[in-house]
Amino acid sequence: MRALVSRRGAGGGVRPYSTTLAAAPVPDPRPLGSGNADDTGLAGSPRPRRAARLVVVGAVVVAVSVVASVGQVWAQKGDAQAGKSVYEKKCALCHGDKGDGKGPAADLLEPRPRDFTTGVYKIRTTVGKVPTDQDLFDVITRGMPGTFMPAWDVLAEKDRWSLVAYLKTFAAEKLKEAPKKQELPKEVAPSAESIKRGKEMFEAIECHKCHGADGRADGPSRPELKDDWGHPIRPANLTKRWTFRGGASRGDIAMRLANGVLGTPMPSFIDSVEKPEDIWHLANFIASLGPESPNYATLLSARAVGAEIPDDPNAEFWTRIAPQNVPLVGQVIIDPRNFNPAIDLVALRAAWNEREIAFHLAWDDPTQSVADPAKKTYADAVSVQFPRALVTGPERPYFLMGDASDAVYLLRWENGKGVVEADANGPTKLAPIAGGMATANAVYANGQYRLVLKRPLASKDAARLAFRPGVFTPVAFQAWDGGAGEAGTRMSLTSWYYLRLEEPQSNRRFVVPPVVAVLTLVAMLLVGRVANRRG
Amino acid sequence: MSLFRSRFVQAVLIVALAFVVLRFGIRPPAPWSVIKIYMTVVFLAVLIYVSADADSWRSFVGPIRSTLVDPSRRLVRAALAIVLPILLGYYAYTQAAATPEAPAELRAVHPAPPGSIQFRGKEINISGVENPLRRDQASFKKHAAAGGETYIKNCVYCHGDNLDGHGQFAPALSPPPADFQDPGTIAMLQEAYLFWRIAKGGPGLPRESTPWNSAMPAWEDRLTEEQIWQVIMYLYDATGQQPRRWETAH
Repeated sequence: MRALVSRRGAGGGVRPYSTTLAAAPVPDPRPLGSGNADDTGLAGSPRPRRAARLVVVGAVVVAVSVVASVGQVWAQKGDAQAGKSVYEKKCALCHGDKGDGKGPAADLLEPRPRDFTTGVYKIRTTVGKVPTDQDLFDVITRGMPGTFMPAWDVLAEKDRWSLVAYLKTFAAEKLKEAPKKQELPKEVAPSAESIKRGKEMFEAIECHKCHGADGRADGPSRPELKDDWGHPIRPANLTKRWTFRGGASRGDIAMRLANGVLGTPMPSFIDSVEKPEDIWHLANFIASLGPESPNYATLLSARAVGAEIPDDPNAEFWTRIAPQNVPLVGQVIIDPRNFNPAIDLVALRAAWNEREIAFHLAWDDPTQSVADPAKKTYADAVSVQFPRALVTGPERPYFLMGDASDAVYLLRWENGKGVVEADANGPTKLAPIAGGMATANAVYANGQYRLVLKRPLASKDAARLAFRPGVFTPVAFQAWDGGAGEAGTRMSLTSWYYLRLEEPQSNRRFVVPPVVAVLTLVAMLLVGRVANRRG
Repeated sequence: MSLFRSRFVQAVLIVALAFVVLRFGIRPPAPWSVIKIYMTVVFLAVLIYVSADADSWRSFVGPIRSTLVDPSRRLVRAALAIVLPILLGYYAYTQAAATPEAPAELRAVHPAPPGSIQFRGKEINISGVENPLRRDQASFKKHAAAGGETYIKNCVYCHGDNLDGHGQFAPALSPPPADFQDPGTIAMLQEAYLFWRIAKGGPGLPRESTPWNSAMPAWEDRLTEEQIWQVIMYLYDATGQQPRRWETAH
């Protein structure tokens, strides 16, 4: 700190900022002298040394807090020159040395990296085009969820402010206007009524045209959507709030509705809703469409049921089982690779009884497609993968659909074809197993597939895995959005997970504890008696 | 201070202190299995300590015995007779009602490398070879920059923009992608080791490192020898880590 003070005194032009200073608690608004005046009153006290020390301490405290408050202002301004070196290290490979969004990785990424020379930023809290510094800072800090822009909260705060300053130099002319804050109407708390009103507005202002009737990004306008630079752009899937670029809170949603997402087909709606507070009703409705976070499952389980398991994917039975969300990512090991996978999540519900096991899979896909060479589309498909047999020990087939030496067992469903059981020695080496025993029932509605795959629990032959209760069975998933051109190795997938068939609820947990308690008591009484006898 | 002279109080204090140190004093936290082993050792040591001579043993057993037989301690006895069975019963409940956890997967994170590998028909010595591009210090910047380009086009999806293993694809992968910022990864490895891992990927791992789980591609199919050495330079340059080297005699 001393160094900073002296630098400030000497150079003047040098901007001293550091996180320690910027983070200093309450800045002291008093001018430099006042603290001294208070403290000098102690100079006449009987213990002059202590008083002198207090004076020094007081002066330092005041000086530091003044410097701190000034430092905070400077920190917020950031230093473009310092930002440049951070930018070159952390940002340039995607956004380009010139900030034009043409870094070496640009062509592989979808959506493409931002071109800072346009001065157009998607996420703002302002009216008009110019964002506040805080807006830019927030985007750097939390990233753009659902895209390849990560959250840079790992960078020191001052580095992020410096980046803000540097980014603005790419479009200084376009960003010179002072930003004007977007005022939001008074917040409306979520309630059944508000959500109902929000749903009416959703239809009235035609949100469904892009975002789909249930918000799954499957609206009729989807294929035509382009950003301001002519690149195709996907509408947000409103049921996956964790992918919202500008944040998942109701406040974030209300702000996006109010002033739109700049550079995209998402306009500002503050003037097109009936009453300003409808923005909040809409935000409440959108927030009701899905959870704020996906809560990915780590261990999958299949519920034991005594009764029949329904074939209908929309049966009430399935709503009583909590979905286990599994994230899927692009296959980038075998050519052709899939860097921008269309399907990023499969929700699994599973159940078994003494005869059969059933997997209920739900995943979003904006188009229901079958193989059509003219349109360059393929059949939508999904597969659930297991080893061919349960082995003890850690060994299992290669997670990417097996390899030449060790095959996996697949339950593969394809739109228009149904389910097959197959062995796979790699993504393109599938061999159907004779005498298929699996059945499938699929429905597609409003951008979502729901599928029930069923198979007998046991297996009499060695070609099929026999499911056993209580055993941790390796399982993996693959999915193809044929409408997005996915087929073969162009897929999304997971690595191995564990599936466990829950054992029927036993009453062990109610019997064991009382027995243990009684045994403890008996043991204590015995010890006491022995001690008494000896004493 | 006579309280602290009682062997019983001492024993309890030592055990409690040892537990607090093991549980909260170690960063990153030690696993329960390790704490259990250490606590057993501490417990045995304490038993040896209190039973060192007859006086000491008496001082240790005294409070226990008096609790068991002394008429004046009837209340304490009754309380123990209620509390202890309930505690153990509760413990039994948590054990019986626990949902089973996935079996632990033991996996050698940095397995021993082979002596040499075949790279596109060429033999590359893994034990002892230095990054050939480092000899030419003048071109360091150029190579690191080229490595950055290769990284951002191929590796970033899993290992992340910040090289910390938090790429977009990371949440779906188990084992998770390596975090190069972590001093426990590239900082403790030689560059040739990285060359082996990048060239041969997950499928080239030995059995003890569960090759069937790893999503790391074998990059020998896609990158040239020079590109791999460049990426390695970028990894060290961008994270500020230093590769482990053979000590040279001065």
